[in-house]
Amino acid sequence: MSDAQTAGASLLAVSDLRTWFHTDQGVARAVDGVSFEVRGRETLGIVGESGCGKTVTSLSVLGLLPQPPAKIQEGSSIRFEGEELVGASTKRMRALRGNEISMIFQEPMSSLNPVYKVGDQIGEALRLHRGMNKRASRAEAVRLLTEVGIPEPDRRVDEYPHQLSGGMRQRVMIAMALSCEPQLLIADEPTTALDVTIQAQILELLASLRDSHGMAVLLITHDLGVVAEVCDRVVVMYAGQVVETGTVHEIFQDPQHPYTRGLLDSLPSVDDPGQRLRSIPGTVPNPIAWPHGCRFKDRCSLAGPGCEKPQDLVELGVDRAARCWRVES
Amino acid sequence: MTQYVLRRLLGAIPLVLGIATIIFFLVNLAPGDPTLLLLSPGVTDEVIQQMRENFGLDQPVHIRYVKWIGAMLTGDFGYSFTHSRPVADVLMDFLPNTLILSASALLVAFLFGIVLGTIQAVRQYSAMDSSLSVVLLFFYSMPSFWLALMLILTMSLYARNVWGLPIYFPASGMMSTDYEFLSAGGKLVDRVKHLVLPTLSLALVLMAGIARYMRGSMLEVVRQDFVRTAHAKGLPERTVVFKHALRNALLPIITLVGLYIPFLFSGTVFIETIFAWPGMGRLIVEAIFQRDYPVVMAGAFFFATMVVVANLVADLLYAVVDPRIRYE
Repeated sequence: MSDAQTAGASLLAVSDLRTWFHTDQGVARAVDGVSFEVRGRETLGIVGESGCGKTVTSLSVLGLLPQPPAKIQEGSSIRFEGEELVGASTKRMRALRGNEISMIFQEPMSSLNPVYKVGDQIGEALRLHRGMNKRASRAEAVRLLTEVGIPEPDRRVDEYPHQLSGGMRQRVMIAMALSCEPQLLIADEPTTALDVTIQAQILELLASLRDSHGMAVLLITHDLGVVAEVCDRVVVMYAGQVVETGTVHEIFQDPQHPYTRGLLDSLPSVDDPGQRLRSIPGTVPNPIAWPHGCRFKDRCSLAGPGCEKPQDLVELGVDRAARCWRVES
Repeated sequence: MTQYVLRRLLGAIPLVLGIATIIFFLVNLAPGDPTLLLLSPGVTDEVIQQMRENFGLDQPVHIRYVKWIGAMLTGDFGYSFTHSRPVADVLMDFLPNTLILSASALLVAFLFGIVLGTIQAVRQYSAMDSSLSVVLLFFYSMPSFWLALMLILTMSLYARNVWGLPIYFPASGMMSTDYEFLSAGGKLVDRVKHLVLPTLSLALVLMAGIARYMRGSMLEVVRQDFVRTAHAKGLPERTVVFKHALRNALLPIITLVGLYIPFLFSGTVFIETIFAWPGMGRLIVEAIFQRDYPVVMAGAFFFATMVVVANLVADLLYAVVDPRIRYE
């Protein structure tokens, strides 16, 4: 077992990541100075509204964004087991993808190729990274399907994606991602497209696989309920920046940033049903022209004179920070 | 699947009979009299009458229709007025030539169309993409008979008379005059050389259309989530493009096989005439001018049947490529 697989050691260190898109309308600074760390065997959640840059962050890690229009700016750093991935060769990135770092996506309906059997699609990474032949990779695909809880794996392995339900397809995606025993699994909104009962099953599966495989999970979601269920630590993103970090307990019990509080307030309360759901007024601003000063101030109920200047991330303790001048360090 | 094929074949029977009926009445109700074209001017009315009786043209049109359909169902397409042979025999002489020409044009058009369209999509907005777009638009806009004339002009006439080059690709016929004296390999080469210009004339227009469809289809497919999944597995670019994207991008192209076959056949009518290619297209054109009704009807019927069959084949190909389509 390598060092990175030991709990606590840094596996993925993202620092000052800035991924900008050069468009006809201007430069969209979708991810604008994001830093966080994923450690061995932990689950880090990245939370935020649509358009906050969380998906772009995850795609940047694997180098899956089309360049151009996307461009990872100078000074950005993504280190995986100490190795710098920004500017790494395509060949090196390909060797990592699906092997050391795997990814599952939001839409299980469209994330599988409709014209190939699921067994073939699962076995593909094994043939590529492990040099298995067709027969061995098929046998391994059957084993993986069993592991992700698909009944009758012998039969399912030869089925096409359209013959499976949404939940089953996401299980196939997970089997595919697990095939080469990655150290890091990036799950981008893995349950958003599924209905609630299936969501819970998939989350449970992810958590149990994380423990049995000893891998770390970077979970991208807009759903705080999902975060509460499976994450150890949380990064809250807003407008291309990290606005708050902390353990799940800290974020839920003692949110510091007004945005995090807003998100928590928007959750339906079990104690007080029948109450009108609250929401944060306004929408995420346009990444081509982020607001000057605090990027959240236009939607913040506490906005005041101190919010006119750009906000720094204020360290509040170990792995605990918030991007608001009002917090006490 | 077998059941589906059988059902489609059975369903095609009334369609083909309907086509035969329309062809029959279009040809037979058109003005003109074949006997007048065949006989010298000034023959007596009795001779004309005798000839009409020989051809069966003295009978009312509905009787002729029933007789023709009845005979056709037994494989008898009648007797050619001008070739003085059974129509089926005449067709058998010309049919293989047209099939060779159409098949090679179809092959060239789809092969190059798919390859060029894919290249364009993979290198979208590159200089390669733009220049191919211009060239393809040119071919797409040009009528095939004009292209044929330009090919003859450049490859034959200018090649020899202006540029002093040998004629690599002959502009007329299916084989050289010394064909009989060539070795087996030489015969094949000679045939292929004769095939080049007519094939290009037919194929370039279709190829340009296919490439444009393919480019669009491919661009749509590479944006799909499963292509991102393939990249996320670490697959090299060419595997992603040629395994994951290409097969999905081909689905809409298959429909074009069925759609383009009629264009191809109507193209052969011009192209065979221009290149003196002894095929069905030229046969029918000549038969129309000579009012050789049985040949015109049989030829048109054959083309129509081929279109019906091509569409059936396209549907079946669809099921082969796309597992979501299983005809039960």
